[in-house]
This record gives sequence, C-alpha cells and structure tokens, in this order.
Amino acid sequence: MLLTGTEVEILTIIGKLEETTTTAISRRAMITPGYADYLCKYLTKKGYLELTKRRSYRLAPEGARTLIKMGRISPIWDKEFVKEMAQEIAKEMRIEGGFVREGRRGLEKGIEIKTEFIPPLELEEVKMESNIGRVNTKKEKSPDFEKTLKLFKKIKSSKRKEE
Amino acid sequence: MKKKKKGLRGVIEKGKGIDIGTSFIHCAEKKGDSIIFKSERDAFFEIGYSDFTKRMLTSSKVKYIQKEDKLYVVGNEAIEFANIFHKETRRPLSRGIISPQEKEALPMVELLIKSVIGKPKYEGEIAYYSVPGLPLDADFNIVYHEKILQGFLTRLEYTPKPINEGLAVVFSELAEEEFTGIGLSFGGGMINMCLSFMSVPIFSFSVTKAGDWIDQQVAMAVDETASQICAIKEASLDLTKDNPDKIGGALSIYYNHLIEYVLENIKREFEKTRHMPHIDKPISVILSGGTALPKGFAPRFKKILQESKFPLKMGEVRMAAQPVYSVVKGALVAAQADESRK
Repeated sequence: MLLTGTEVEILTIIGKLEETTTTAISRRAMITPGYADYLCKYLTKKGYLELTKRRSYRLAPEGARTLIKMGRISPIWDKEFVKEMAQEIAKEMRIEGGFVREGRRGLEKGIEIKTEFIPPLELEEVKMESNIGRVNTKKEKSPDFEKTLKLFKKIKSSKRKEE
Repeated sequence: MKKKKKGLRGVIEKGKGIDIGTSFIHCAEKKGDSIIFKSERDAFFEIGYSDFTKRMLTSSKVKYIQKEDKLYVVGNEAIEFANIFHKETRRPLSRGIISPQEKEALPMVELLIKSVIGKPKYEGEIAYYSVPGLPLDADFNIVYHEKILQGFLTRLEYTPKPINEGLAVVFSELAEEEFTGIGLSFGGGMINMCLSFMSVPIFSFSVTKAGDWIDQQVAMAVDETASQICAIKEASLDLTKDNPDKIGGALSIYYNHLIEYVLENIKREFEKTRHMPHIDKPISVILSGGTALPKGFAPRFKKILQESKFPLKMGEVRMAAQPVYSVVKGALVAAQADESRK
C-alpha cells in the first residue's frame, strides 16, 4: 500500500519513540492532534500500528517492516526477525527444512542479499585547491518579508498556545 | 536580538535559509529591508590538468577546484565548457538528492555549500535547509541525503534543521492566506509539492520528473545534448507561443506532459487523504522553481488545472514573487522565526 509522506512520518516518529500518544505525534509531525488521531486510527486499521491498553500507539510488524525497507530504522535482531530473514533466504536458495536437497547445484546461483544499510560516511581529508572566493551575490529589496515573518510568528505562537 | 556584523552597512540578522537543489545551491540571509541571495550552480566539468590550463582558468576568473591531478570547472562556467566540448556536465545531486553515483563529488558538494553559505554569525546559528518530500515515482529514500547535508552544515558550526521544499514555498508566498494552500517547487531533479493548512503540512510528496527529465527527453527526441537543451530552454522558451521549431515544439509538449503528471499525482494524494481539514476558501496554488520560469508557464498550468476535476475548490494560481528564490526565502522565514524564539 502506498503511504503518503505524512503517514510515513508518523510511522517514523513512533519507530523512534517506540510507544507514544497522538498528542506527541502531532507535535513532532507538526499536524493538528485531530488529524494525528485520525491517521493513527487509519494506520492501525491497515495493520501498520497497534493500539495499546494505555491508549498509545506502537509499530505493528508490518509498520516496522515498512520502515526497515525504507531505511528509516535499523532492524531489531530478535529471534523472530532472524527466523523470518532465514526463511526468506532459504526460499531464495530453495533450501527446505535447513537441508540442501539439491546439493551444490542449488548454491551455484549465488545468494543476493539486499540490504538498506548505509555505512557511516567517512569523508577522506582530500587536499583540494580552489579559487571559489566569491559566489554570485544578489541583494534584493523584499518589502513583504517582514510582514510574512510577523504573520508566521503569530500563527506559530497561537498554535503553541492551543496545544 | 540583532547581531551586528562589523564593517557592513545595515544589520545582518540571524538565521539563514539554504536551498540545495539539483541545479543550484542558494543561500539567503536578511539585511535591513533586503535579502542577500548567494547562488552557485550545482555542476562541474572535468578537464585535463596542466599548469597552463590552471593559469588560463585563474586569469579568466573561471571557478575551479583542483583535486589531486584533476581540474574541475564548477558553477555556470561548467555548462559553457560542457557545451563547447559537446559533453554533459556532472551533477553531484541527481533527481533532487545526493547522487550515489557521484561519491567522489561529496567533498566538492561540501565546498560548494561552504562557499555559498559562508561562516555562521555565531556558533550554532540556525540554518534551515530544504529537503525533498518522499518520492512517489522512485524507489529511493531521502534519509541519506538529509543526513549528509546535516553533517556538512553541522561541521560548518550551524544548527541545521530540514524543511520540506513545498512547505518552504508556502511560508514564502502565502502569508496573506494564513499559510494555507499548495506550494509547488519545479526544480531540476524533482518537483516538490506540499498542501499546508495554517502553516501545518497536510501532505507532501515529490516526483522525479522535472526540469532534467524534460531536457533529457527533448535531447533524445531531437538528437542534442541535455546541456544544450537546458541552455535553450533557459534562454528563449515561450510557452505562450506555438513554437514551430523542432526544439521549442518538443519542449512545449513535454511541459504539458509534466504539468498533467504533477496534477494527476496531487489528485491521487487528495483522494487518499480521507480526513482533510475543513477549508472554506478556495485553495491558492503557488508555482516556483527554475523549471517554472519559461514565459507562459502559469497560464498553461492554470488551463490544465481547470480541465482536471479536483475534489477541493481551487483558487488563484500564480507564480511566486521570486520563483528561483521562493524555497530559500521560505527556509529563511523558518530560520528567523526560530532564532527569535532563542
């Protein structure tokens, strides 16, 4: 099922906090509490979230799988997850019950393990020389900017008071 | 509290906006009643190194980077060199995000960003940087891109915060409508969209058909390089006219297709979002970005919009006051608002 950007954002927030309420979600996702509540119920109905007895939300297995696939969270290597992965790999290799029935022929194709893992970036200290001293600079009058900023601060401030 | 910078007239205020796009990197900061925009084209072109070549580039003030035994012309001049050699420029960003194919370009991207944004006014100055929405038509995640940029800006001693590109357009242009409406940024690598209600994003997404896609498709159709098509598009395309020439005609067709594609995806997202906030007034649509610059783009968009059936009442369709700088201005609004709360 294709998820919207906001739905993915909600799953990510819950993935990071493990278990949380719609109030906290609405604050972090910058959406109204009512909208957050609606989306959480919708995602629960679709199997991405679970509602706990404490009236908070946590990721359901489908939600966790979706986030892992998108690289938003790292998988939790518990017994269930390892078993699931092993079964997936076994299917690829056509191994049944842990035994290689086809002998070496079954392994000739090779195992292709897809991973979303992104190694931490280590930029080498590259010696570079450049003459980029000045970049294109423009100074433009923006008479409406102050008004825009004022209105923006007013709206944000009234939202904070509401919450 | 405003912080003065010694030696300059007027007061440069705290907070910066930065728009890191496939085609350009822009930075904005406020000074008095003006905004200072700094820009650099996000492209480079490799040429053979020799002392002679290096002296020629220096004397003609062409911007370059020397990395080990290679010379890279960067910025606008990279496109000119590419056209002369009838080759393509290399882009550190592809389809709106850091290109996995251009890992060796990461230090160059960092240098380009550094040259545009400069040093912070104080350690930890807030810098809002644009990030694309989740792509609907491509299978890549934007986490890597976001984290790389965050790392660059943190190393430069900023406090980086991401802002969705479409939302930044809303912040920049829809103050009178209480930041309610649709912001569209037509970039080189991606088109970003955000529907906002009272500055809160309802939904957002991106699509990877954008300016570069138009250049590539037209280039294939007419047997030219994408860089050549880009140069013609930026210089002379007029969507109000018939464009009987081969290249103009092809550009016009692909622009139509692009607009229809974007509107179709917006409609689908509307339909998927079941619980929309109640918006009484018609929703305004703001168009921005370099790909929306050709003359006649807004009327053409409006015409195609009117022919589509939208579930909400659509209001005014207009170009942003400064289409190329709309995203970076919106990021600056967010940064200054945050700074004022410190």
